[in-house]
Amino acid sequence: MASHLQPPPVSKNARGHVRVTSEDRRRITALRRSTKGPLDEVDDPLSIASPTSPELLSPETYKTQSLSPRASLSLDVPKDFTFLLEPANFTPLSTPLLKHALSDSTSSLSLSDLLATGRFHTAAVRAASDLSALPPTADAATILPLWYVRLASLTLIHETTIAAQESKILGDLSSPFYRLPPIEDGPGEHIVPWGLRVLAVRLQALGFGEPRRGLMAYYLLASDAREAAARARASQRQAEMRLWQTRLRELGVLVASALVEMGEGQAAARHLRSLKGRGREEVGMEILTWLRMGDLSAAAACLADWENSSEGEDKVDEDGFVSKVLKALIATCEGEYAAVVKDWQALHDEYPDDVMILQNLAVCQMYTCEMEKSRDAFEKIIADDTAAVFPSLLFNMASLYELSSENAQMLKTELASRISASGPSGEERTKIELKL
Amino acid sequence: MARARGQSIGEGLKTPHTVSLKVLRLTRPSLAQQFPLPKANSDSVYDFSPSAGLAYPHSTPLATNFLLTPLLTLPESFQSAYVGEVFSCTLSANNELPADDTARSISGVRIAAEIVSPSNPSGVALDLEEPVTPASSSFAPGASLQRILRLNLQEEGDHTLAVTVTYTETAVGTEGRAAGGRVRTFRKLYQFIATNLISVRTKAGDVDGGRYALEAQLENLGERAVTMEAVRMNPKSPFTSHSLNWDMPGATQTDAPVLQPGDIMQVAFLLEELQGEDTGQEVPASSPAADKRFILGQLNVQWRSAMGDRGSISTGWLTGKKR
Repeated sequence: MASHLQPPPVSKNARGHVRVTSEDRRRITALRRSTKGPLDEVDDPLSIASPTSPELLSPETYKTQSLSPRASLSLDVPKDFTFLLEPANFTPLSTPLLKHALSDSTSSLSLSDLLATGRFHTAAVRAASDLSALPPTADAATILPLWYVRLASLTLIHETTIAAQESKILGDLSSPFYRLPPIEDGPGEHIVPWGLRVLAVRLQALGFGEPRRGLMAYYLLASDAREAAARARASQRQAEMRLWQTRLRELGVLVASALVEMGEGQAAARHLRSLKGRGREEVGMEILTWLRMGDLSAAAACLADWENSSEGEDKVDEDGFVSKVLKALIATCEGEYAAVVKDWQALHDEYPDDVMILQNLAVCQMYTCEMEKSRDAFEKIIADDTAAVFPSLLFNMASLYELSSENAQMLKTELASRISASGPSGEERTKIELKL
Repeated sequence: MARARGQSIGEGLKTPHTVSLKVLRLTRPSLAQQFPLPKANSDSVYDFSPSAGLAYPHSTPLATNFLLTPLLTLPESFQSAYVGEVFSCTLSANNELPADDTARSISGVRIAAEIVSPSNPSGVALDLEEPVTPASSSFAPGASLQRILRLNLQEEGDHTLAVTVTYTETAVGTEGRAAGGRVRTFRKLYQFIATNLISVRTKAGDVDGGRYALEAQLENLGERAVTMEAVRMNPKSPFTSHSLNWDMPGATQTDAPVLQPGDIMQVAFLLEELQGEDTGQEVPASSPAADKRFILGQLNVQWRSAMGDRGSISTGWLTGKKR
């Protein structure tokens, strides 16, 4: 018998399969809706009587349901995490655009400081070198948070492809290998931080080229969250219950995002409509999904339904901000730009501090031959708060520079240094966003 | 945009042009995407800023953790050009004089464009949209003149967009007076291929006396998904048409059909001959023995792709045969 538990096997399907191109969407079927899904909220009064409610299950049933027999071995045998520490796990990163991002001053900063100051490139490198330097006896509580920093930082600096490849090393995070021995009122505690469990879903789906695997993984997490919330409620741990409910709600949004990423917009819209406590946020998400699909009448119908609905938390939109912005977006997709520029201008006059509205006005002005005004608007957003620039703003600026000069490269570099001069935050991210 | 060919012609060979031409394909703007980090992450040892990974760092009722955000983004790349859709570009003539160059000035900038398509090998001049309120008349270094062209792509095959820029370059004397000017011009060519996005195959059959069924298969030949906005039969008198599809009266499906790349969708229409009207227009038979054929009408397909970019095609006259 092996003295150590082996790392969780990657599912055979995932390894042995030829990579499925994500373009072929014909074989991806929409999720079948069950009458009661794991994403439903736990405070549903019916859930007490639900057969999957954990308090109705004996510990025996519970074990056979969610734990493989091998898990019992972990009571005595230490787990071997050395496969997570191999230096070969980590792909070297190309150097960032701005040199001072690599300056010596960062070497004295702790990993937490690097994250707090937005030095995600350096943080990704540091996490990998810290992991490689750990002794083989290092425990999960040391290793896994560093993995989270590594993968999260990579996604923030747009190195998602590398993050997706590296995430495969973690293997199946739902396996018993990643749990403590079972306890009396439920399965053993998960040793992987929640953020890493959630983040790994999308990265592994990308890494293995199987988006549907990601959907299933979200539903597994949701069923865990639902059980944990039920246990917390049963033992009156209010704060913990609310935490799990928040996580459950977040998973609901992640499923919708994953469906949109797969090109299954209609399924995403149906899913969003099925979420409990659907409010203006979910209505906004559904309308954006319809616009992305190009189904403008469905978008308009969704907005009209919501505006006409008379009660419930659906209706919280005091000054009509949500309605007005969504209407302007639908009109933008109709393509009557001269009228749309007026809509966005009126919104900008009403909400002068909203940068989303100002950016949308600037983009539409490009479609009405008003490039100068457009550039002024973009420049205003940057001048107002250089530290708070956001990716799509930089992308739009880069496109505008490319259109308006032979020396776009120079203008972009100048903008990049203006941004980095305002503070370290984001300085390492601008390279891709500015198409440099 | 597709590769530019044949940079400049004529006098531009001697001294570099002081005006540049840049082109951006204007498909619809897209929605910025975001991949935020998980939020409820209280068990983490290391803290990321809650706004890290968000598309924009401001809190409004529309700022969520969802993939799609309400932020508009300019078109990313040239993308494919499809028959039945509007091809739109913005053209920008830019003053490339250095800001400190006081010896030269540029004025009288004009942009003209024409399109060469398989059926128009000699080219057709295009109307260009100008700003409603003209920009300031001075054309200082760094300034741009923007124009937009919109063109209905109606045929498959190679297209060439030819853009000509004309401007006057004036040498400025020491006292700020014009010391002499010359008109310069250059032309840039952009090539692209228009392909079919939706292919239509039709079949008409005689149901019973005076009633015909028209079936059609619509196939998405492109590389992006489309949402069908309308599939209509425009009947020719004396026929009337009834849709047998998702949009027929009483149908329960509310979502418009989506065709992913490679998907095929089947539609059908029932065409009835109105009583008391003249019999349908007969198609001249090629031989006396041929069956009598009647013109039923035309099929029109209208779609939208991502962010509402619209396209539409119509078939030729479709005919039915009397048994």
